[in-house]
Order: sequence, then structure tokens, then C-alpha cells
Amino acid sequence: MEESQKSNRKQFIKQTLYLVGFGALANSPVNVLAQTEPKRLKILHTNDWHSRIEPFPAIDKNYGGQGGAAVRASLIKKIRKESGELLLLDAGDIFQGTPYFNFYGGELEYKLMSEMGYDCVTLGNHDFDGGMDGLIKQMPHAKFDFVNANYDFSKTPLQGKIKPYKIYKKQGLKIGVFGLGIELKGLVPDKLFGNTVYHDPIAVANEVALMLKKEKKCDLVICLSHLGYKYKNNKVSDEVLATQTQNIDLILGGHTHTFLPEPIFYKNLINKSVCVNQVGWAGLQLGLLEYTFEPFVNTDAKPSSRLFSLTNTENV
Amino acid sequence: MNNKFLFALLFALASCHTSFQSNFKEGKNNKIISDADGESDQTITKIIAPYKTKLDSLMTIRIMVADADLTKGSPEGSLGNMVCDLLMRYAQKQKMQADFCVMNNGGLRIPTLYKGDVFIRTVYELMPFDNQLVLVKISGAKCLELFALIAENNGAPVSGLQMVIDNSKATEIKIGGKPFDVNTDYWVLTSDYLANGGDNSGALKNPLERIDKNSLIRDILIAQMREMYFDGETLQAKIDGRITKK
Repeated sequence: MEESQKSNRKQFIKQTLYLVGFGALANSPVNVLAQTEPKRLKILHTNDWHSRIEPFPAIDKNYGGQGGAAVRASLIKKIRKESGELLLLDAGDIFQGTPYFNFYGGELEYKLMSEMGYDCVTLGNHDFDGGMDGLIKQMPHAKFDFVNANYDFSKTPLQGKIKPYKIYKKQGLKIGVFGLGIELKGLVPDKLFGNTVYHDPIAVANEVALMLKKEKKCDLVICLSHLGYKYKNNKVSDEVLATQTQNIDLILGGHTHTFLPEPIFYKNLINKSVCVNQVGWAGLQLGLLEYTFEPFVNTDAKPSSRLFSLTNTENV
Repeated sequence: MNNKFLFALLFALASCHTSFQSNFKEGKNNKIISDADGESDQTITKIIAPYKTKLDSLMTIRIMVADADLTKGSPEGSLGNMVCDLLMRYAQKQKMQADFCVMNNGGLRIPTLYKGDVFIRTVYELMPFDNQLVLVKISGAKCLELFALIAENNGAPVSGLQMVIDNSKATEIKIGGKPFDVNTDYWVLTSDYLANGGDNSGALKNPLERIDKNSLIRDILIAQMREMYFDGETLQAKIDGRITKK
């Protein structure tokens, strides 16, 4: 496989050489430069917000003054200003955890995320806490996409409202984003998820990622996962997903509220790098991954990373 | 030869870029603390304002005072003990025949209820889920299954129940101060979440009898705290050895 990629590359360079020629190269270096400029994409991500609209109250010994939608929004705005088009993603459990959810059912969470310019989210188990009807009721407030590929909603009111995947075009790149959810049975009361059918995340992931990479020719395939980072037993997790699949480049996780100091790189089924990241919970942090696509260099895409702790300095 | 030259040239051009510049302070592990830039976005603040105003008027009502920090803990914690004790008191008042109460640590969503004023908001954050109070009658054998699960989990919030965890096994079990009798059926006060088999609590599922109170546990706790405070009571951080480890 790698050999054929190498020979493809040689072939391509030969063709380029033939088309451009050394004369043209000397006469118009600007054009060549334009063609060879690396493409860069920033991906910002959160998970397990749990309705933490406001920063934690000052009295809180662990997180007093930290978090809050307003600080996150200003940081996102700043990064957008610096780098233009980016992807803003969330790995689920937007709902539940403060009275904002009990009283307003998630309306404000979705409104604020729409204002921040979220592109895509997946569903966490707590996003079912208002039932499927509760979720549908809030969807008009969400100006972003919902993806999940391993829940079959065909016999539920969510039919057609959650897409298995979504393809985004940003910075001249094609990015496929799909979602995976945790088994709801035993975790969420039966009546809240109704006839939703759960399918094995690994099998589904391999199928969807292959399609996104090969058929849809995505430059990057991202999985928004609410499976959890890893468990002591062999329950399916982001770690299991990373090592037992192929064609996924990046797994942005949630559910276990794991504060990873930096992304973890795994080798997938065919020994290619998969990046896994998760940024705690409650909107305390914002993760940033930056991919650089060098032209003609066909290596594993490994992003650089930044992690932002969100603290509201005005109220502390 | 030219191939190599061109490839090197292209690579050099491709690698020639400025790295990402940011105003945020860089720390260890690529961690950047936004302490110098933690200002609020005004558009967001404006969207939140009407929701916050309405909510604050309800949430900032003081209903109780805690004399000390109440914390989640294993095998027992003062926070779980308080919740279960309050639910047992409520049951007694309602003439419900509860022998003991069991809840799950996962249902308590704050690690600490801090010393000082307790507001309606505090109880919402402690118990955000809309779980309802349920009374189930189960056999002594099913009780043993439940106790085994509690022991395996290194404890759970309980009231009216005592046990010693010996090597992950439940021993010296007492109900209401009396030795547990495997030939007796017991009434267990719990949440509908656990009674429906949540958190692997299969022992509570399919009981001999089940009474649904159709009241939210959170609302019951709020009402109970208000009443106690009105009567001059405060919350104590109680650890009384109801579940201990050998």
C-alpha cells in the first residue's frame, strides 16, 4: 500500500515536472508557491458541557470562576479572527447538570452554541434526558448538525433528524464527521430513548469511515464519540475504537469527563496514527488541534495541539 | 537527479510557513491558560441575561444551612447519608412502610455540599435528574443480591441499613437496627432509576410490589429541608459507620 503511494507520488511529481517545466518554474515562482502552500485547518472541540451556562460559582473549591459560555465564545471569536474557517465540534452531553436544563429544556444551550458557530455535535446519553420529544423541541434553536451512525432512529420520532455523517468543506479541505453513541440500555431510562436501536460502534465506524475516506474522498475523517475514553474492562471505548478500526484520523471523545493533558496517538488496524482527544467536562476547557496538509507529502496527518483553560477573570 | 531536486524544492516551499501565533500564554503540556484574556463575549451575555434573571429569582432562595461540608464518599459519605436520611424521614411522615433506603452515588452530581447556606439551586445541582421516589417490596434473597452489589461497589448511599464490607462481601447486615433475615420480604425506598434496573441494580427490578410516589426526589428534598429549617434544624455531616470496611 505504502509502496503504491510512493510510486503514485513519483508519478505525480514527474507529471508536474513535465507540465510546469523548468522555464515556467523560473518565470513564475508565485504560481508554484500558490500551488504548494500547505493547507491548514484548526479544529476546536468541547464535550460534556452539561448545561454549565455560567462559570462555576466562586465558592466551588475545584472550579470556582472557571468555565462559562461567554468566555468560551470570546476565545472562539479570537481564534476565528486569526485563522478564518475552522471546525467547531462537540462530543455530546450538552444537556443536564444545572437548573438551566430543568427549567428551559436545553433551549439556551443550543442558542448559545449556535451563536458560537458550532458546526456539528453528536448525542450523549444525557441529551436524551428530556426524552426524544424534548430533544426535537429544542432542535429549531440549533443552527448546527447532529450526527450519529450507530443508533437506528428509524422507528422513533428522531427519524431523519440525526444524520449518520456530515461532510464539511473548510480551508479547501474536505472533512467527514460522523458520530458514535454509547449503549443507552441500562444507562438511560427506557422510555426516554424508546425504539432507538443500538448497533456495534466498531462495525459501524469501519463501514462509515471507509465510505468517507474512499468513496467521498475526505481529506480527514473525524469521529465524534460519546463512548468514553477507556475502561478497566474491555467495554468499547475510544481506545478500543482507535485500535480496532481504520480510516479514522481523529476521535474527539466524551462521556468519561477525561481531562487529557494532550491528545493521545494510537496505531490503528493497519498501523496508521489515530489521534484521540477529550477535554474534561462542563466547558472548563477548549481543545484545539491544527492539521497541516503539506502538498505531495503523503504521511500520517498528525495535528499539533493546544488546550485552553477557560477562566472568567472579570468575576473572580 | 531532477526529480530529487524538485522534490526538495517543493518540500522546502511547503515547509516554509509561520507557526500559529496566539495571544494566549503557553504553559506545560501545550496547555494554554487564558487568564489574560478571560473576558466575556457581550452577545452571549445578552442572550443569557433574561434566562438568568428569571432562574436566579427562583434558585437563590435559601432553604437550609449546612453546619459543615457534606461530601460524597465510600463506603459511606455524609452527603449520601443526608439524602437517604431525609428520604426516610419523608417516608415515615407519609406513613410509607420503608425498611431501608438505597440510592446510587452516580445520582449525586456534586462532590461536596459546602458548609453554609443551601439554596434551591444547590439541590438542583446535587440532583439534576428528574428521578422519582419509589417503594419496592423485595424478597430477602433479592436483598442479598442488592447488598452484594453494594459491597462490590464499595458502598452506596443508604439509610436504615448497616453492613460491614469484608473482602468485597456484605456481612453483619442489619435492617432498622435488627439482624437481616433472609426469609423476610423488605420494603426498599429508592429512585425509579434504580427500581427500573439502572446501575446494574437488577435486584430491585420486578419486585413483589411497587408503589410509585410520582414525586421528584429533588422536590421532596427541597420540601424536607425547608420544613426542617423552619423547625430550627440544620444539616450535619454525619458519618455513623452504617457501612464500614473490615
